[in-house]
Amino acid sequence: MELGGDEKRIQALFSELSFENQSRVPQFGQLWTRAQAKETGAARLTRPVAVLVSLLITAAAGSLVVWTWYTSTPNSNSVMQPPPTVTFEARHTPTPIKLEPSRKKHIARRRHADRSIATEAALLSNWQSPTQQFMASPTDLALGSLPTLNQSVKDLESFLSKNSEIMKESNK
Amino acid sequence: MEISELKAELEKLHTASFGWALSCCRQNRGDAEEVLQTVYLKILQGKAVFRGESKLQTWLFAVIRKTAISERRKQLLRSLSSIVNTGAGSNAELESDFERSEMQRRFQEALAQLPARQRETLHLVFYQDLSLSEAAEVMNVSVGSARRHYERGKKRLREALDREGVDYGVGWRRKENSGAVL
Repeated sequence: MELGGDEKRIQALFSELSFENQSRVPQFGQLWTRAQAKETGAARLTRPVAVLVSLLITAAAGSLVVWTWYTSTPNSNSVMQPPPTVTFEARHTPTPIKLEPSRKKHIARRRHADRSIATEAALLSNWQSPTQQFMASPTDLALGSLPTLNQSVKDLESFLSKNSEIMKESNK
Repeated sequence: MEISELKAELEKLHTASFGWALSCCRQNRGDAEEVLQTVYLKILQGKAVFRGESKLQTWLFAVIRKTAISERRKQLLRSLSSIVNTGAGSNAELESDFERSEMQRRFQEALAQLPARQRETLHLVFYQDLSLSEAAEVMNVSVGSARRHYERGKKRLREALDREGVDYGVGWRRKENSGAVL
């Protein structure tokens, strides 16, 4: 495409501008050296920053792991506690360790849940079916225990002696 | 491309790069220097990598343009946070920096009135002797879009120059580039 009259004139103005700009151009070496100095400075600065950041990340990750472990095991000092044969109430005696509010809340919630479970378990163990008393028989007492030796003979003798006396008296 | 090889190529393009940086920084010499230095820093740090997908010049100009835009944004944020108006200072610097002819001053003013895309297209075509497709690549727009910016920019510049009363009949300082436009 050929340049028209206007385009030629515009280009002339741009050429004029380019000519003037040439006197203002800074040395390439100067800018390049400054950039190089900045680069080395930035590298020197970024290395400790990177180390610091990585340390912070590691510390944060470590504390997170510890925290999750601590929260997942509510009785972390249970190893020091007596074996599980101790009563429910004894196992949950309050520990004098200073705890965070959120942790305290968590422990309280857990204790409340444990207590309600224990109550429910006790109720369930004492439960009797309503038909059980109807199933009970009056002979249960005699059948449920062993008779003493010669008891029946003694009873009979006493009964017979009483009876013979009564008969005698009646005959008279 | 090796860094030493790239450095040699950049040195060859340095004058043109500075001209383009000046255009991107509205003819502010300090800003243009800062932008060009940042571009060299980006290259050294490997943030700007030339992969040979285009001409080195178009790639470099695209990097300069992006850097200038981000620098301008930073400056805008800085100026918003501070009350000090740096505009007057930069104008004074401009005036004292080099003695510009009255006609050139008017031409610069007319050019400054154009929208950025139009100004950039005209600069790349008329100042840097790039073709429209190369200009489009630098500006990251389609060739059709670059052509539109070129046509509209020319029209608006002509009107602005008429208003400013700039005489077009200036002597040629450079060889005419007839094959610049597609």
